[in-house]
Amino acid sequence: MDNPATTTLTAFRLNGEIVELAAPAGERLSHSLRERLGARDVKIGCNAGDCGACTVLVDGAPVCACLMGSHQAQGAEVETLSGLIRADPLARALADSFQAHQAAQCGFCTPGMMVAAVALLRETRHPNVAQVTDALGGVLCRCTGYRKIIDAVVSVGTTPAPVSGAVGSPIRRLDGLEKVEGRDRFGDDVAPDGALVMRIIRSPHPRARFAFGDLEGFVARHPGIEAVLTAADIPGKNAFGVIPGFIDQPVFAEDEARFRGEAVAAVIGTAEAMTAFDPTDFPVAWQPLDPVQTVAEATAGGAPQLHAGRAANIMCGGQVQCGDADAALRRADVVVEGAFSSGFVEHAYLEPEAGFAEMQNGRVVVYACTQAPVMDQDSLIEILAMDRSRIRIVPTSVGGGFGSKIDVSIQPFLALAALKTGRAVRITYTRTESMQSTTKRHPSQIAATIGATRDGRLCGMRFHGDFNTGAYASWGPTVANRVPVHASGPYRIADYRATSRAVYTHCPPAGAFRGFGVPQSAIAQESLFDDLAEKLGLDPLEFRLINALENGAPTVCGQVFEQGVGIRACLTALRPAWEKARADCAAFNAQGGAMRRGVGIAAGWYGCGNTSLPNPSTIKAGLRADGGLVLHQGAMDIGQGANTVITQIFAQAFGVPVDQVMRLGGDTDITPDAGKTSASRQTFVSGNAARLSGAALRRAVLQMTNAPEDARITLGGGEVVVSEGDKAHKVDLSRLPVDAEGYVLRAEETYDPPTKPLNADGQGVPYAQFGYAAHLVVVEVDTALGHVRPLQFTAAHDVGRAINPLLVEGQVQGGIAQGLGMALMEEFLPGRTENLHDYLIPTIGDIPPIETLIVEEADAHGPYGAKGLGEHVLIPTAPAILNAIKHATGVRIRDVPATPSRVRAALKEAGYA
Amino acid sequence: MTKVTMIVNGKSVSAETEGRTLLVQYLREGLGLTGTHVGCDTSQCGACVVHVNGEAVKSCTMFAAEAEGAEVTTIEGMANPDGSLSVIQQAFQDHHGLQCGFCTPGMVMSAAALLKDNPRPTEAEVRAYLEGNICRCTGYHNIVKAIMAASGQDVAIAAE
Repeated sequence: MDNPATTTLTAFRLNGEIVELAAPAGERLSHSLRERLGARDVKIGCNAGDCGACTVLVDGAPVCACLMGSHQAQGAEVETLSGLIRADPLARALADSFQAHQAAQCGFCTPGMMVAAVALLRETRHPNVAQVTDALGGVLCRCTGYRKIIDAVVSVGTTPAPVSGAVGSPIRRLDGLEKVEGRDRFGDDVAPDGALVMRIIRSPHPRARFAFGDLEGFVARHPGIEAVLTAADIPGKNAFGVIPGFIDQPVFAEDEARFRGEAVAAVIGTAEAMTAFDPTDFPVAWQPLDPVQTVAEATAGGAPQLHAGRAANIMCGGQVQCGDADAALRRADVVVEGAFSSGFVEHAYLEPEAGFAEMQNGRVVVYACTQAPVMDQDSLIEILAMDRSRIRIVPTSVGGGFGSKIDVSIQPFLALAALKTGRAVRITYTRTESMQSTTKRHPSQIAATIGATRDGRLCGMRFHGDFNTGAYASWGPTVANRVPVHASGPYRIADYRATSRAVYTHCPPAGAFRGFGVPQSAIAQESLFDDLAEKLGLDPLEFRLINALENGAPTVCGQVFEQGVGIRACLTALRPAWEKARADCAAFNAQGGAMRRGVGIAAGWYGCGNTSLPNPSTIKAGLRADGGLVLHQGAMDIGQGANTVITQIFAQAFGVPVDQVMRLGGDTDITPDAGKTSASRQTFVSGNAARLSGAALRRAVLQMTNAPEDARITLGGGEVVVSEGDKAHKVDLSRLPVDAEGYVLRAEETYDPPTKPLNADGQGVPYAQFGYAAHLVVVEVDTALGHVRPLQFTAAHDVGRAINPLLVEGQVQGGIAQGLGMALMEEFLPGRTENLHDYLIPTIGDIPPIETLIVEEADAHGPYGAKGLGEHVLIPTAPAILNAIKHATGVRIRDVPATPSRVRAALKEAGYA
Repeated sequence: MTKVTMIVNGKSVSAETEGRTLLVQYLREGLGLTGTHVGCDTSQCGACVVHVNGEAVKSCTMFAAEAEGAEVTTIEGMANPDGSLSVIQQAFQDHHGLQCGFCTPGMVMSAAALLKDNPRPTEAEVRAYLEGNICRCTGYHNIVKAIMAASGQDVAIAAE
């Protein structure tokens, strides 16, 4: 009920300076700070007080700026992160500590997190862990798993000096300083003043036919609204997708919407007009139709078919088969089986999709948060029917992605809006539309049967998984293909048959989410492994060691690695923690009572890069006449640390310290395609391209002086000095010809991992390398309430070579936090949990201490032996937790999330009081 | 403190008001119009519904400052000019649309907003419209009946 005519004059101090604000009474302080006073360091993640990203200090107290009317700040002292950094030495010490501990990954929650921490530190100079978790409990982070944030706050002022160094060194994030000082620019931070604002009109029904009313009349009746976009405005194909043959998602639905939240139109207007705009005024009439929202409904006879040519709504399937699973299971001494399920999981990155677009000299330029700028360009080429040369994608910093920002979301809308209006147009999804309309983790229904002989050796495995892929394909085919390849886990199973199906439903599209279906299949397989060990009377860890994959042993795809198989080392690394935890739990449980403790382990593996498909990355670098060394780094950093890792690898290969490398980002005009940030491929694939580029540029320098390979290169002051022993050759770069980009020497190298196609039985070489992992968790189960509290994680990861051990720990801790969420609390229910108070993600109080054990079983294909890590980090988490619950209580939970109600129901059925 | 002026139940009123003052506080504490009730303070219950420029609004979810210059109607302004009950109020009385009466002002204000836009709603439309108003006594049937009757429609509703 804003009355835009009523503006209130408010005066307050913002970061020490008196500001006057004329804004409608009731306008959120967060909005006023960002849009009227330029304080873009205040981030908006939910606009509902759930996430805390917008936390500022008002008269010294932390406040969600989105929950406060800006006129309420009359006369107050308001401080944001950038002001605190300028004025408060404590804030600068905290920033240093955040950097040293890598407490910021994507950096989107960082301003809110740090502001809340400053408030605490002003009152309590040396807080303990409990005080920190209390004070920061209202700020959500989806990347870090919080432990490094806690470490950073409790150790402010005792920060170790920065280390330098290339591969293997725990250097600070190279892009971290702007994150901890509130200077980083995300999708919503870059639009020019006066840009038009766009909002999307979405289907309120999971399935509905619709018809527009008088759109021209609607625009004419609403001053300030400039244009409406519908499917009729699309010059090219009204379709996007990520896999050839599965390009089936319209930019705007035509005639029928297939999921709640699907876009049908967009409205573009001035900022003022769009603030006043009520989407229910938009002329569209809906005719709801009966949806099919589960695999069972969608595959039943008579179900409406979502897409032509996909009978029974089956989008695709996958299969891997070796030996004879049925015969092996018949001869097995013990056999276990089980049916498992999981629901939709939301990525819940703290940054909602945002960006802007404008026309520049006849070209469409889109600024957006994205994991895959060149794939965005690919999509726009088809949608806009324009040449690649006329489309430029400029990625902003990305406030978390985890897979969902591989697909386009806002990009087509923005490009079409810029084309239609000729003006700069911006959009930022609300939290609700981000959750309604972007991809999710696939819900799964999995049935598996696994056998073993009495000596503990696996003897046959049968597996089938059905995956609800939602209304459109997205990465569903990838999930269907990847799961059968991975469902064995990192073990030797000679007789194996795994099949999968991806099924269309009237739900949001399920797509890429950290693990591509493997976390779901690992729940089934690793739970059944514990059941097998129990039946055999074997220790679960020893049972896994008996069957662990080894160098020289074939995978279920018949692929034989002669080196680099690190699962045995990961499992072995857990043994001390395992033995201690078993003894501790037994002692605790001997006291009796409703609280029971248990310890669980689970292992996992993950093939890095695309499955049996080309997957190249290209990295370019150049040396300028002034001696500047420039790296064109197109591997999108979504918080995981590619900017740092790729630079470390490049610097190592070229032979200079990392701080001598100037880094350019993923702008498609200036940086070659380093592929998508997905499938744990950037360290491995783009890392190799960076290594090759660094080496090529080094060779070019050495050739000019005929120096040997081990000569030392020193840069600076317009020259390169190449030294060997006490001899030094100077090369005067200013005498060399300069190319169009300003380089006197350049290198551009591509790496594509060697894979081979899979045959109909899934036999072949799907990946050039796998990474391996094993997690251990101790949980406490309140058997009276069904509540499960993890107390301690120990995570062993074979990363081949830790390019940056601090970043490795960051990935492990953040992945465990997401795995914990999937195991215990997260389930996206379309239409019901479309915000961050009904959809729960772990808070700082939910994540116990995590010990990371880095295993380095070098891989021949990896740069300096490195393997990918991004997905591995959550694959074993959920099954380890479920195994720990079983150990604590004797009750096997097969459906996640294991919410208190589910756990309590299972306990009751098992006879618990 | 800023001066906030608005028209409440047809009368111009004005008061020095803090920025944080909610409209419901302004009405209850500033003007003494205690017919508007506070049941939750967090927008769930609907007991505080009033009309602002003709639209139903939960007055605990709006700052008084946002209503600067607006026309506000509360339950105290709903009776006919001669003091007799309005049609909706009379229908609540006749059909036992209230028990304890705490939710009733909000219910009446919501019902009035509904009937202004949709003079002959279906029962389903009435129930859908009232989803933001919680009643703990009546089980809602008699509230729906009262509103149907106020709209001049048959009061035999499905649940009876």
